[in-house]
Amino acid sequence: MSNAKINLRKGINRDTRQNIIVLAALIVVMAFFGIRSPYFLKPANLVALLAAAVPLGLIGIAESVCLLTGAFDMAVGMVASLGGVIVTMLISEAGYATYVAYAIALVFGILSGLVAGVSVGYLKMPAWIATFALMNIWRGVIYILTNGDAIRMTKFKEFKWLGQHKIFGTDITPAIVILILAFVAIYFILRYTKFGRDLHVVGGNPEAAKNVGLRVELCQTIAFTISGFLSALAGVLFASRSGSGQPVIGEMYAMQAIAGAVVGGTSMSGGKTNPAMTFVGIMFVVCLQNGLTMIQVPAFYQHIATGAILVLAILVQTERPK
Amino acid sequence: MAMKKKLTRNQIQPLLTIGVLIALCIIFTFSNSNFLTGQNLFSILITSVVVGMIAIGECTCIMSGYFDMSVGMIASMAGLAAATVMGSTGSVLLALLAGIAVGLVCGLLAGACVSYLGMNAFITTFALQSVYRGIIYIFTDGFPIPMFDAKYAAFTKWGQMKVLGIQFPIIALVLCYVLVSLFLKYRKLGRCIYLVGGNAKCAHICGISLHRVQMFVFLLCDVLAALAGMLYASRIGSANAFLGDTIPMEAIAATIVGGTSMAGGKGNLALTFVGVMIVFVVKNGLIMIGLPDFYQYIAVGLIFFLAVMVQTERKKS
Amino acid sequence: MSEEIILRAENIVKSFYGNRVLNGVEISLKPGKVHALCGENGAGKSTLLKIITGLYIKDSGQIYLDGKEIEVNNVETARKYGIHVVPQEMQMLRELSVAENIFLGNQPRTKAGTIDWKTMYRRANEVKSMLGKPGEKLNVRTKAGDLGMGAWQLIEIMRAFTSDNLRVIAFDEPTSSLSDSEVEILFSLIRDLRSRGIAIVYVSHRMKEIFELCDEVSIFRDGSYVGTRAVKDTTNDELVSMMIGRDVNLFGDRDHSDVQEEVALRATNFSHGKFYQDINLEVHKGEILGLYGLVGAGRTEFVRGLFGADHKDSGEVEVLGKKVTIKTPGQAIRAGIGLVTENRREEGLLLENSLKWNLSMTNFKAIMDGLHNLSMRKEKEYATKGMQIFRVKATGYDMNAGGLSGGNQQKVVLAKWVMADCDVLIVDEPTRGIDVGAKAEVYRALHQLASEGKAIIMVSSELPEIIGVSDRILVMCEGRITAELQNENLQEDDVIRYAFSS
Repeated sequence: MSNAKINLRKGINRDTRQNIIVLAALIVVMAFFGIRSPYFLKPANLVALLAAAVPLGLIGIAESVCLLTGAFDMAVGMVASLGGVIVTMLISEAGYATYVAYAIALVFGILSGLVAGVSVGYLKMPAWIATFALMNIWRGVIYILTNGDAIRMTKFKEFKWLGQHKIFGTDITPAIVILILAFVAIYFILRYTKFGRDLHVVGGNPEAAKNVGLRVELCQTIAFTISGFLSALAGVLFASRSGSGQPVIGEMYAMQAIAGAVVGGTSMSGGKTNPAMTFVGIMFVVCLQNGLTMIQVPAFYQHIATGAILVLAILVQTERPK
Repeated sequence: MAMKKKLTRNQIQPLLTIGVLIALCIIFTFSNSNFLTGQNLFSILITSVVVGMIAIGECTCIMSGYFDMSVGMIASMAGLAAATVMGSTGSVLLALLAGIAVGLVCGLLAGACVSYLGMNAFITTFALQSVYRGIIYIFTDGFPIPMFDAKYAAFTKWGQMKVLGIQFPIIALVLCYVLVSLFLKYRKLGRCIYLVGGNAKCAHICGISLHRVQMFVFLLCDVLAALAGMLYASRIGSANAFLGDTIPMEAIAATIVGGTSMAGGKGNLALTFVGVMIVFVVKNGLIMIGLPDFYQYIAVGLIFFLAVMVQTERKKS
Repeated sequence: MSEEIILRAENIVKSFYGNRVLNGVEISLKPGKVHALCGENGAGKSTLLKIITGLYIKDSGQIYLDGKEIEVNNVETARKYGIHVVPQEMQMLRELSVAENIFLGNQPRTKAGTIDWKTMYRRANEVKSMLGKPGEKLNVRTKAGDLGMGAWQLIEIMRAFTSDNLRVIAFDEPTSSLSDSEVEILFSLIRDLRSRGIAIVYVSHRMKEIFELCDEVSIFRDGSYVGTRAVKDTTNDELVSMMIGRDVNLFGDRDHSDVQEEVALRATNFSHGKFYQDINLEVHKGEILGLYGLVGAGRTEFVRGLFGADHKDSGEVEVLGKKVTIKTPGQAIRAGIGLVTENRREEGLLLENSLKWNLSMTNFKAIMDGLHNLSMRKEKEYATKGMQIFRVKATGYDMNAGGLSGGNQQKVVLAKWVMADCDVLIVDEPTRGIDVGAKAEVYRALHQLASEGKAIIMVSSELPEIIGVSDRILVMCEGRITAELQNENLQEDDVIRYAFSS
């Protein structure tokens, strides 16, 4: 034995490699569509891409916060839909002021998240089941409110400001700014607050979390509450951009958001996420959708594509014992 | 003390479930006198066939510790496949085989992902569901395949015929419950489903092949879903592209209401059937009261939520 | 003793699942001393360590810090008192950096309340420098998941260093997962801590380490405190005699007359990576073969490999002279081999299912009728018989296994395999965590099986049990068989010395 040494490294950094692969995949997808459709890589379409990514981006962050604690939130899509329905109905049918309607929709999101969080954190219900049940309850509420029809908002200009106003004449809308702010905020919370670090511990090693005296239940509850808030915000911004309250937009959100987060390296078993890479993952999903539409592949191939991406991402992430 | 408590809990649960069903029936009878008529009861039964059939598979799946979220789409796919084959060949047998083949392929895929690749069953089948949805769109554009033409008659007569005054799908449903119950109770593989769900490590040490059991439950689940889809198509004379997104939830809700343990290892098909009845009595009752059918989403979601909450064991601190 | 005492625990009692594992034990820790806790498996030393460091909560007893009674209910409070533990199962967050693992749940923060990463890394480096040379190569920004066990241990120690008032630090079998060079580093660190007046608790199975490192040693036996000695005034023999010495009649009489000529099982060439290498053994019909070794010697890994429960690199098996292929437990069972695993709650039983189901699951053939259907009547008879042969105390075969006491659970597991009618039964730590009465019944059953011509391989780290029950003993150390001993008037130290690496 030459001298006493401690084994410091087990291999090269897995994460860096994975991040490079995901970025490369995004570039390949964009290059592919760029070649197939010259319009795809035009700045205008890239900004449009970003605008289209707003709801899914917000829900992607929401999902990654929940996944960080080791839980799925299946209700995100319906919370978003119902958030959009609430805001449009309050304005168009009940005559509420725009900002009051916004606030009420966001409060609804927070409450929904709170219900999910308490069920998971304090009542110890399996997260996916509790949120899956909640998703169906909200779906019912949406149909009762709307009868399944979209709510048209053509008259309400103020309402569409967030989603459609062109800042300084560019294609950048306030919604895009909100999305970016949300990513920065979540990045900041996860990295620079005690709560954010606690989430990593709660999801990464619940036993260690208990041993160092963290309030696991509270952390989970707040994580779901954040998720509910962001989902409702996503729904509101979508409604504002499309100028209507859409009852069914949320059906695919949960899966697309989970796919985006997992592609971006978020661990399904908890304890690991990276908001920047989640953004890349979400853009990957959005580009694929947008690109497929642009090269005139029928919309339903998107279902297959998203499903297949999710299956592949899970497959890659699953650790198999030898 | 702990022992005593557990025993009573095990005994009370079935009584409670049946009690809830009876109470619901009484409530709805008082709110609408047409509820407790033979015609309405049969209508509850016949509408419950698809979910009831799928609940059998979901129950065995959950007992072994897994969930299958793709059953609804598989049922649709099987119905469409059977209708397509029926339309082009005119052979009921080939149509049936085509539908079952859909179930088998889907079951093999899900089983392989979970058993051999070790993937999380819930989220994997959830993703597969989306893939199946896309496939259905590709083949149908979302439109149903109507089967009113005479060449489909040999297929549709099965869903519409009556035996001793009872519609055949109901008989098929009851038959499946009885057969699978017997299988679970009296066959080694059936018992192994419980054992693997109860403690997979222990079952493995005791020589039970986990792969075999895991593959089997997904195959059974998806083939039953396929049968359900075909029965439905046959009964209403049209293969629907989408039988409804709520099928997996209704089936899982019924299973958990019936006392099947979410952690695996425990469950009972007779009570699952009671669970199915609870779900459909509520759905039917709400319509009888005159509420729009959207309320069913909320009702089923709430039933699901409550059943899970009741079942979750919380550690006393 | 006039010396100052930092921490004293008295009359500590602790039970698990109704089994008393600590029976009013005591310990006194002094500054600048390394205090070893010594005893066989199940003697209670680890449990005591966990109680004083807050990992477990005691049922009763008192803990005094500087003469004042304190309540230690969790790791957090223990740390506030300056009592730290380096647990055997290290709790790392693999995705977080070394620095953050050090300050887990207690990260430095800025005035605004946000996490102060700069200070965290700076303080982590300060703490690291307290390690001296071993820490030099460690980068505090590396993710814990990219590091090995040795580095994890350093992180655990550094966690303790973040405390302003570090008084006591406890190590639970710290060397079990370390390489030789890493052990050297650890020892130099512990000596350094000692020189700074910190009291150190050290739990280890390795006698060598106790004499090399420790100042005092307290001995425990069957959950009771036996005594404390200064290491320089004691000998290996004295410690061993304090650790053992119990009622020998417990094991029944054994005259080796059941052992037959015929070889029941022959295993050749068994190897699996670093766990065990080139293991060869044979066991005869009617023989109880004891497989002794310390925890981590590779015994359990070997028998699991033999049974097909875990992977093996190589190894061939003959049962009753016939070569058999064993890759899965199912194949092993068909070849006539049974395995009672060491962890009965995780692998031995279905706690939420009936005894009936637990008993029949190894032998469905016995409860099938002519059409290969399970016969409820046969199953009931089968279960009744299984419960009778081991006198399982239960309300009936429909009772859940989880409702039984530890001893009765173990009897059910044994019965399950005995009823499976295997020719070779491997039992891994068959009496762990069960009371004396149940132990005697287990031994009686093993003798009974041997007299019926079954071959038994008993893995155990309890010497009295190995010597009391076996016909022949194999000793394993660090993955290899180091001795084969006929059990004729063997003394414990005849066996134990082969279990330690030289």
